[in-house]
Amino acid sequence: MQESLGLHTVVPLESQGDAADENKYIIFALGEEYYGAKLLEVREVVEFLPTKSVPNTVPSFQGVCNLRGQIIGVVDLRIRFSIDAPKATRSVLLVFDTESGAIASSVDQIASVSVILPNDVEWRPNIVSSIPSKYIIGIGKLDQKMITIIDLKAVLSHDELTNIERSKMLVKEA
Amino acid sequence: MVDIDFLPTFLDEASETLERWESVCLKLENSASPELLDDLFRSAHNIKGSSKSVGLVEFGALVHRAEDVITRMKNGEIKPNPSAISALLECQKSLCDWVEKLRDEPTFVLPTQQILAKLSEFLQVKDQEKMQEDLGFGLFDEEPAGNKSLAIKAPIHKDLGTILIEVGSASVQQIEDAVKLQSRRLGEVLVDTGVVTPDTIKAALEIQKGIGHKQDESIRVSLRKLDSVIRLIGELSIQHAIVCNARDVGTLNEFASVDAIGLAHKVIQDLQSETMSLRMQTLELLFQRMERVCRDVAMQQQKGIQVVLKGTEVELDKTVIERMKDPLVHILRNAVDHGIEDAAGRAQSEKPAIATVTIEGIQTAGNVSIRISDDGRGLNEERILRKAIERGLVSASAKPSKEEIHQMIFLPGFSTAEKVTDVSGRGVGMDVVRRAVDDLGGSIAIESRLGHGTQFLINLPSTLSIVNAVVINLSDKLYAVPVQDVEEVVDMSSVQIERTTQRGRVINLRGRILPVERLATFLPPHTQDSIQSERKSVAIIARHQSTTVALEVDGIVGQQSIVVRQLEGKLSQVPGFSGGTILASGEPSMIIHLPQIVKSYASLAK
Repeated sequence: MQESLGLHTVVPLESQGDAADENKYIIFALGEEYYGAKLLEVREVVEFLPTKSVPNTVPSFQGVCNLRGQIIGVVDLRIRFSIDAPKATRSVLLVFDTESGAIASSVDQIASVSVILPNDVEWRPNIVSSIPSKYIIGIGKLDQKMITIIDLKAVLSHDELTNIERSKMLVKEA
Repeated sequence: MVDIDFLPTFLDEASETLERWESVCLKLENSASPELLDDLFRSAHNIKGSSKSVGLVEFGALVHRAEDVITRMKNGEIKPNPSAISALLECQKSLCDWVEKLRDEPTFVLPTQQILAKLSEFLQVKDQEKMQEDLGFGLFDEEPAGNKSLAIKAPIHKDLGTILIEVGSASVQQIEDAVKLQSRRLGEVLVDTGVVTPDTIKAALEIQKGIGHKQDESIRVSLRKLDSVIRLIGELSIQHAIVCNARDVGTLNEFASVDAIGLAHKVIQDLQSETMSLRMQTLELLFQRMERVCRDVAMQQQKGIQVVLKGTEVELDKTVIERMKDPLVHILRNAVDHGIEDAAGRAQSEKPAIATVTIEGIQTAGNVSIRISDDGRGLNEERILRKAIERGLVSASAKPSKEEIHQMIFLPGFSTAEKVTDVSGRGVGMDVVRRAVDDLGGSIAIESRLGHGTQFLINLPSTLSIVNAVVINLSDKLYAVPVQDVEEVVDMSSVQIERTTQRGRVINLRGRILPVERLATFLPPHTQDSIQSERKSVAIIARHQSTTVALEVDGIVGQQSIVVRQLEGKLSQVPGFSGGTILASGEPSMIIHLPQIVKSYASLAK
C-alpha cells in the first residue's frame, strides 16, 4: 500500500490542477456527523434563504427559495436521510445543477473544503446506514474523522418530489 | 459528410430563404415580373450554394433542379404558368420538411425522386442528361453502396454498431461478435479485430454526436432593439457607478438615494419592456404560411379564392405564434373546405365567383387578436344542434342560444361534414383549436350568418412571461393565480351557502348553482379543518370545460403583474402548479394552475 501511494502522488505537472480538484470535497455537517460531496459538482454555496413550503410534495421537500430571481427547490437532507438531531438555527444551501434543473439541499453547516486522496477512501463500503448505500460513494479519513462521501447530485436528481399518496390531484401528464 | 458544426446556421438561413421563396412564388401567380423571377433565382441559388458547403449533397441537387426550372423561366423558355409555379411551391414544401427533419436528424435524406421527376417535366429530356453528367452523381440512382463513404444515409439509429451496419462497413454478425467481446469500447474492438479502420469509427462517432445533439432555437432580432437593450444596460451601469461612488465619498444621503432609485426604476422598466420585445415577432410569416394553406386547399377542390392579409405588422410572442400555427391551419382548412361553396353554389346564391378569406391581426391593449373571416355559407345552427344531439354531446331537451350552438363545433368528436374529405371532416381538429387557445390563456369567439359567412375572433395574450395575477392567501401563505383563469371573485358572506349532501355545498350565484370546495383540499398539507360557514371567506370561480366550481380561499391579497418563472426539473411535475414567481416582497410564490384543479375536482365528483 505504501508503495502504491508513492506512485500515486507523482502526478505530471500539467494535470496536477485537475487531479487536485478531483480530490477536493466539500465537508458539511448534518447533526453531529460529517459528510462530504464532490466539490466540482456543487454549483454554489449560499447562506440560509427563507424557504416556502409547496403543497403536494413529499415531507423531505422543504420548499422553494428565491435565489437571485431563480426559483429553486430545497431538499431537507436531515429528513431525507432520517437524521435525528435538533435542527441548526441557520442552515446553508448547497446548490447543484442537475440534468433536470437546479436544486438545492440544506445542510447544518459547512466545515471545510478538503482534499481526500483516493487512497484514504474506502470505496463503496458495505455498511448499513440511514442513507441508501447506492448513494454512498465511500468513507474518507480526514484528520482522524470519518467522512461519509455521498453522491449528493444523484440523490437530488433522482428524488421524486411529488407526493402521490397525499395528493387529491390528478398526476400531471408528462 | 454533413458538417455538424455549421448545420444549425445553414438550417436557420435555409428556413428564411425558403419563406422568401414561398412568398415570391405566391406573388408570381398574380404577376410574372422579371424582378420576381430574379428574386426567386437568388433564393434558390443561395440555398444551393450553402447546402453544398455543409455537405448536404442530395439537398443541393434538388435545389439545383429547381434552379434550372427558374433559369428557363427567366429566359422565357418556360412560362411561369400555375402548374410550373405549383411545382416550385411543392419543391419548396419538400425542402421545408427536409429542413425541419434535419434539425433532429442531421443525416436525414428525403426521398426526392417524385419531386425531381415533376420538375424535370419542365426541362427537356436532352438537357436532363447533360445536367446529370455535370453534377457528377446519379440523381435517379440509388446512393451507391458507399463502403467507406459514410455519407448521409443513416436514419434515426443512435448507436455506433447500427450506423456501421447501415453504411455497410460491418455486418450484423461482426458487430454482435464484437459486442460479446466487449469489455472495452465497441469502436476499439472493431478496429482491433480488423473489421473497420480507425477513420471509419471516427466518422461514425461524428454522426453519432450530431444525432444526440439537441439544437438550440434561434431568433432573428432587429439591430435597433438590440442596440436599445445595450444602451439601457449601459445607462444602468453608469447609474450603478454613480451610486457606488456616492456611497464611497459619503454623499449617499436620503435624497440622493430616492433620486437614484427613481432613475433606476425608469431604466429597469424600459429595459424590461425592450427585453420582452426581443421575443416578439410579426405575424407576417405566420399569415403567409396560412395564405399558402388556403391556396393549397382551394386548388385541390377547384374553388376560386383570394386571401387578404391585414395587420401583418402586429407583434406576438414567438412561442404564441408557434403554438397557434396548427390551430389556424385547422380553422382555415375548415373555412375553405366547408365554409366556401363550390362555383355552382356561389353562383346560385349570387355571390362573386372568387371567394374572399381575410386573415387579420389586431393589436389591443396587452392583447392581440387574430380574426379569420370568410364569405362562405356560414354555420348552419340547426344542423349543428341536430348533429350534437345525435352524437350525444348535448341533451335533446337543451335549448341553447345561438352562441352556445356555435361553440359546439369545438366539442371533441364533433363533425358536421356529411362526407369525410381528405382535408377535413373527421371530427378532429376544432377541439384541438379550442384546447390550444385555452392553453395559451386566450379565448375564441365565433360570429356567423347563415349564407353570408363565418368569422373567428381569437384573443391571445401578446406575451406569456408577464401575466396579471390575483394573489390569494391560504393559511397565511401567498399564491398567485393568473387573472385569465378566474371567472370572478365572490364574497361568500354575501351568498347563500346550502348543504346538499353530507359534504357537498352549493351556492346560488345569480341563478347559477355552483358547487363549493375549499382550494386547500387540493393542496395538502394545507388543512381543511375550518369548513364553517360563519368563517368569512372568499371564493374564486373557476371553469374548465364543462365544470365550474367555486373554490374557497382564506383571502384575496390583491392583483399584480407577475413575471412567470418556469420551474425546473422534478419541481415542474408537482401537480397543481404551472410555475413560480417572486412577489413584490421578494418571497417566492407558486402559481396555481386552476384548470388542473378544476379538472381534478371533476374527476373526484365522478
